[in-house]
Amino acid sequence: MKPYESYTIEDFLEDESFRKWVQGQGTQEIFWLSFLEKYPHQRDAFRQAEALVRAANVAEEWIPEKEIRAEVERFIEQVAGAAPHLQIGFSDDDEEPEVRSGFWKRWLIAAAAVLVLGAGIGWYYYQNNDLEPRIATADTSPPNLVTTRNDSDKPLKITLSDGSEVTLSEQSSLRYPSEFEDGARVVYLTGEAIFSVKKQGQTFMVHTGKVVTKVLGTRFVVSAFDEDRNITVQVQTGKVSVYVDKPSENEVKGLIITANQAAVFEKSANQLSKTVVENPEKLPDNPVESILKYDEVPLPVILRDIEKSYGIPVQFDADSFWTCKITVAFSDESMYDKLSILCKTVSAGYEIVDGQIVVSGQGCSK
Amino acid sequence: MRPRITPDEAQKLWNDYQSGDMYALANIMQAYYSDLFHWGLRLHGEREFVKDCIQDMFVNLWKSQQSARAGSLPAAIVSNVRSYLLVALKTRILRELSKKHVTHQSMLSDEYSFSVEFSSDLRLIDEEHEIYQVRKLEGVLNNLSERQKELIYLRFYQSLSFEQIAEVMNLSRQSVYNLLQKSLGSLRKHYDVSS
Repeated sequence: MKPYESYTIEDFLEDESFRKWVQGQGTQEIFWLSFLEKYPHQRDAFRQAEALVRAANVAEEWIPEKEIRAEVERFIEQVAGAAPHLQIGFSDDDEEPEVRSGFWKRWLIAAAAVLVLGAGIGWYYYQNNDLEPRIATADTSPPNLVTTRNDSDKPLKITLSDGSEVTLSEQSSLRYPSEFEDGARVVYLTGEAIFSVKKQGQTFMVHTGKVVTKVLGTRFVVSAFDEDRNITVQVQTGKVSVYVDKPSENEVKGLIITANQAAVFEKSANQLSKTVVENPEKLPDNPVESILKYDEVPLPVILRDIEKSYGIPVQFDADSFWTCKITVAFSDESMYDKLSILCKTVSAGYEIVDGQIVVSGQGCSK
Repeated sequence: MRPRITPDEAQKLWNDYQSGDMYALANIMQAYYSDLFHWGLRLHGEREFVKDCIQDMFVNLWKSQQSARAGSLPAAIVSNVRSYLLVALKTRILRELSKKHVTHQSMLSDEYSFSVEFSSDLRLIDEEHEIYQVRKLEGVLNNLSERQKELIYLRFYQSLSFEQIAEVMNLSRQSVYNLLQKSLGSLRKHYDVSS
């Protein structure tokens, strides 16, 4: 363990994990979020280092992937003296800047982070721990909590003290303070609700059982049905961070999930993992046309288009698939159908690993 | 910012390149192109000039590898591929520039210009006064000396360690640390901790 106790600003700045967390690329979300609770005397150094990382941002000088590829080909021509057939081993990054900048643009507008926190607190959890969460939250939550329960058969609209609106589904209940106090805005949900969060000073957090969803956008849906054993958070657009409340030693800490990804918390195993939503939707401003005809196109190119359309990373070995030339026309097939068709054509397979699509196979002979 | 290939992947490609794999070097070029391009533009703002320098640098790397394999030159031992390339590109750009502007004295290593414009990343901030603080810091950062800005840029844009920054800036690790202290000193004056 690092000597966080005596960390200076310089130490924070040198700490890769800290920098990444501030820049929103971190994997130790929970650790840094709770850092000041553990080391309150480090507040000044921590805040200053954090502000400095944010301030030291530099706009990317965008160079199109095409231009880079042209330069690489120019290089190969120069050293090999012949027109090359380029094998790109790290084409994983292809077109990434486009996807990214599009993504961030949406995120900046923060128009609509739509997320479905599916499937529940689950009978499994509640049957076994019915009293526990109440007792636990009673200690930490503000004393003036109001509980609204919707027993009607119509959605019920609630306006919170900060002006945020919550549409509570049938058979659901929401606990929230009559007035939000200083610090984070925290509510507790059982069941399902749509949130329209007012952009404001404090962070907005939704607690559902052991899982906390921290809102990084403005509009989202949270639902939690009792029958399910998993708590699922699905993001359609925008970005949320999901983490386990007070994780014990070997539990997963937190995840940031983006468009078409989902976080699943398996209650029985206390496992938080990343996957892909059941029916990925094309991103609203994706750069790929909706009807696509490919004529003798290398598989990697098509896979990159899928990646761009849905905003889900696709991993594969570009070298071995580069020789797979595919002729196909897509219209409104689902993403999974498209992948199945492509994989069948080249006797490959795909799986979902950690919120990404991994395509593997032998490749094609020339 | 796009994810980079890991140092281990880069190292593996580098080894392949040194044993004569042209495509490995092409892959390195592809993977680091935008980093190198961004870095080059900080040193000299002409896109085509920077592209040519990157091109020449890689052609040269290939040639030196061939000479090394032929036994006429020792192979370059590289601990971190990315910072090695950043150094190599800087050297090349500064040399080309000194040729361009016909000066009699050779360019001193600390006299080159470095231009960067910091613009705060406010995506993950909600607090009004925090935004204000960060904006203010951004202003201070932009008024630092060029060497100080280069340091900050290398740390946060290129995410080099202080060790690697020392290599790229051709300074000792202690000097990097001193430079950082100096920058932090001027930042502190403007950062209101109490708020």
